[in-house]
Amino acid sequence: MSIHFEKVNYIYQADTPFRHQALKNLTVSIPTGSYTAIIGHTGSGKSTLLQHLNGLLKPSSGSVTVADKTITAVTKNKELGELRKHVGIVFQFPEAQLFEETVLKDIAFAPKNFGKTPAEAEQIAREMALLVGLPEEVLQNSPFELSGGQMRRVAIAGILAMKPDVLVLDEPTAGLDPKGRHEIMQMFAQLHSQKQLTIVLVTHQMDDVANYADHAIVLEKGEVIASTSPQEVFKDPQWLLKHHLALPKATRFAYELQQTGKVVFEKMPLTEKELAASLVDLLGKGGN
Amino acid sequence: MLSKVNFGFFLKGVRPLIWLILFTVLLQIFFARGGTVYWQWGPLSLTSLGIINGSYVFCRFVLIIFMSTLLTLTTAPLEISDALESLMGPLKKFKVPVYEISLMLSIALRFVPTLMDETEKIMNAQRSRGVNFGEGNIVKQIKAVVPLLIPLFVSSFNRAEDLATAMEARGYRGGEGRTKYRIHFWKRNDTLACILFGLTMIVLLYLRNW
Repeated sequence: MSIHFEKVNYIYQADTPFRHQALKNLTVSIPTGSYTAIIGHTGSGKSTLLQHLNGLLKPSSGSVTVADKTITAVTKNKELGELRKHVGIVFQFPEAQLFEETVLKDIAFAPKNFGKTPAEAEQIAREMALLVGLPEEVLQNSPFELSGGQMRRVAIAGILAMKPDVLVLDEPTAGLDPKGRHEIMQMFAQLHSQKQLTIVLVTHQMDDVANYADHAIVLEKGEVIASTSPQEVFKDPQWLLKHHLALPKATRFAYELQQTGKVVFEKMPLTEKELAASLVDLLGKGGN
Repeated sequence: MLSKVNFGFFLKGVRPLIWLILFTVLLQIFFARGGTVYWQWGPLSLTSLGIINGSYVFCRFVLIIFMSTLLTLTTAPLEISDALESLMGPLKKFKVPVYEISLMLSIALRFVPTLMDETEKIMNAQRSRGVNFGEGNIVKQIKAVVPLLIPLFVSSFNRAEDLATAMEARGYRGGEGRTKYRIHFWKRNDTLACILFGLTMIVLLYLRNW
């Protein structure tokens, strides 16, 4: 499902002294089937942009097109239900949305809302629990008895159960331990490659952008300052510094190494794997 | 104005309630009986007492709104709870937990914006899972509130526990012998305000009985 923002403005609390323009004349596209990372400082408009993706917010002016559906300031709320079925959003700390008596019921909540029968919804819930790696024996427990990591998985399964075409993730690994973080990011990568899911990832972790994304959108103060490949974004350290963004670990290592003047990287590595490969390459060429 | 509050704010406070006020005033005017009758039609009658009662009701309502607007616009919630604590001070002699009451009040006030943020977030999350708030028949609407209220309760309890832990970690042990960051002094203006208020009350009482 292609997503396109056309000259979108969004203003919070218009006509009051607290007026705040969060998005400014924003035009950007998220390609179908891509793994798009949205990067930007706190207050750059990431969350506002994200809430436009399934019509939680409607643009103050301009339009948002998702597949064949166009949302403008005058779109009726009733027309948005169909859209929400196709775009699943995993919010920050999504475990806050859990409420049902059992894990299984909570995962089945969204499909039931979108018109599946209880039996079908339970079937989907079991599949999704398996997919996110929840052990069979916790399915009948209350979601509030689980550990933080498992609650996160239940919440994510609850969104995946909608079988969305676009999966939006707002810092999905915040507050998890490194192992849980890795497992969850791997799971999203798998969903992306196996089910051709379009993924939109909002993150502060540049390593995640380097490791997983194939497209990156950089926001600053409500405006798009770059929409390109991660390779391009991390090409110019001066530019990143100017916009208060960090480099992925591997790339920073490569730049620092290059600054010693002893090696020159032909193509800047973004991930640890690429770094290792180019180092092997350089050593093979007999560089000192 | 003494309080330096723009008069427009007072009018804004009245506006949402103006229809209710006018309705009550009209009821008073047309249904109260007594005094000279000016006009009559079926059960409706326009009498001098009705008009007097009606204007009383109008003034009362508007004054209540003006006063509460004045209080909330000039005084921060924390100051109100501090004031309550010091005014209730004498009740300590009767074993009323004054300090605890004012602490509860300030904590409650402090968490209103937080709770509103939280509500907004959870509503967004549940909307994304296909809940429609404020749509459909009454049963549907009540059902839609469950996925909102349960997470709110859970997070409020968690937050209360966190807050208690954080307070204990910083050595909080209750009100006895606790010093304050904001100390209240009795100033000349306070005495003046009290005298002025007392005088107004005496004048009003006198006018009423006269």
